[in-house]
Amino acid sequence: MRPLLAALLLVPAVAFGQTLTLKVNGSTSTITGTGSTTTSTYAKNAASCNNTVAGNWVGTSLTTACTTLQVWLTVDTCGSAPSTTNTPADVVVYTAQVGAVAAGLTTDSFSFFFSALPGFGALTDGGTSASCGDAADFTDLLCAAVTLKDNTGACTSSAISASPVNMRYDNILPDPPVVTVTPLDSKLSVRLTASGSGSAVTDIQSFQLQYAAEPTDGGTPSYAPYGGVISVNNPNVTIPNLVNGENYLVVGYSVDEATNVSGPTTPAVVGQPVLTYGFYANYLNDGGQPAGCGAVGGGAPSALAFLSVLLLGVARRRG
Amino acid sequence: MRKPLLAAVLVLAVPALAESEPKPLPNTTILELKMGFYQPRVGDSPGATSDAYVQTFGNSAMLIGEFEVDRSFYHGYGYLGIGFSIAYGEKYAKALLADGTPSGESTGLMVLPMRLMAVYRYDVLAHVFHIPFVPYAELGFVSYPWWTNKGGSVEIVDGSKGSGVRWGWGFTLGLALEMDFLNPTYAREAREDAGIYHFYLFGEFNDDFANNFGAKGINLGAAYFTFGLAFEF
Repeated sequence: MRPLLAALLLVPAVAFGQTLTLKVNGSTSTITGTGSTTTSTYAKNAASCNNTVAGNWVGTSLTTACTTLQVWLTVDTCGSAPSTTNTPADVVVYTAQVGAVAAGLTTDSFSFFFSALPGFGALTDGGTSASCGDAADFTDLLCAAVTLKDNTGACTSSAISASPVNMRYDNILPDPPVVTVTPLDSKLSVRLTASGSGSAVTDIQSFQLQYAAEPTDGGTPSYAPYGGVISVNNPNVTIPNLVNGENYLVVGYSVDEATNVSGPTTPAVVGQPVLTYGFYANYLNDGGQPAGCGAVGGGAPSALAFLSVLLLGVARRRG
Repeated sequence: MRKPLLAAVLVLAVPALAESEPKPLPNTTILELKMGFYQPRVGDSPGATSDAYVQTFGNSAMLIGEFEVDRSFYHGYGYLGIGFSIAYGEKYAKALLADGTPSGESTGLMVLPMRLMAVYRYDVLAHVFHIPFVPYAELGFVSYPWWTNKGGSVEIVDGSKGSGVRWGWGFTLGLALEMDFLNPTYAREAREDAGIYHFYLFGEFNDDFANNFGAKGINLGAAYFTFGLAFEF
């Protein structure tokens, strides 16, 4: 027992409560001590090549810093400091000097061009290095770390690192969704389903929908959007106010994590609204007569009121 | 077989009846929760040549849940009072295409039956003879707010809205099992601590004539059974 206790006392330990957090344009990544938490993703397509990615780090209890606090981009794992052997090389986007951190610096901002992601250097495009704008899909990591003194004041502790932020460049269009159309009375019920499997499905964040009356003269259909941004969690849309018996063309679009929009569903799915007979139509068609009484919106309260009056009358008579 | 049984009942009942009138009991309130299966007589609607309910939903009754409260104003030789109940039921199926096959669209019928009833419960058997059965009868007015649904909204056919209220009358015949005998100690504690005199399990037959007393329009009357739990306090 004693040797175990002695060993525990001798092991340098980072003080508890030290944290380092990375925030990039709303994407947050946090780590406490040497633990790890969920990793967030910052995904963009070629439209962001020339954009500046702004972020900041926030630390607590870092006054015992032994090394500079660095923020860097890597194609590999983060580790405790930028690698000197990675190819393409890690890109350091921020450095806080030891003295500044030790003096109590708890947060600072940084920025870099999205096109600075080292992953672009790993691409090949017909034998030449590719650049931001090419059709590619890769994920680099944005890392931050600093080494702190242990309880004895020695700089032998492990670094504490922020949980990395995934920096994803995705300039590949997703597949269009599968569109299923169910004809209703003067309406079409449309269900959108991401096509493919695995990441091709989980990468889809939303859908868009367009429909048009099918031209009877073979002309070009005039599509109109409907439903706005359609969530993958609620991918059912009903298009109302259509004409029974007419053909309508329906196409869907997939939108992925990097806001890439797929091409339309090809070919367009044809749906034809159809007259249906509910219970009341069946009743009338069978010769039943309309009641001629008010809608239930007024009927139920009036019925309740009538019965209440009866109840009160009986109660008063009792009294 | 019948004669000895009749004689036995007379031997037991006559002396007790001869003793005196049952003691007046406090007026009480009875709360009932019940469920049943209801299938309206739509086919009996004026002008109807077939039953649209069966045509749409099949020969399958809708489940209804009902809450009833009764209050006595005389409680001596039985329980005489007034009761009000409100129920809800709905039935859904696929709307039909012109050829009679199901479409991809749902249609439904919803009813909200309300009843205002005179109630008589013959609880003398339980209170005087300690036979734990309480037969009862109810008679009164019924009101049936109803509405239909197709594709998520009230169905409208050629400007006629599929909703309204049907009035009428109805009656109930029921039999309740007073459950005190199952655990007399618990029954006494419930009476003394919570003021609950009795618990009942019951079954009843209802017949409502919700057709606006024969006027035109849909007939939502039905004969149906309900079963439930009641407590008297």
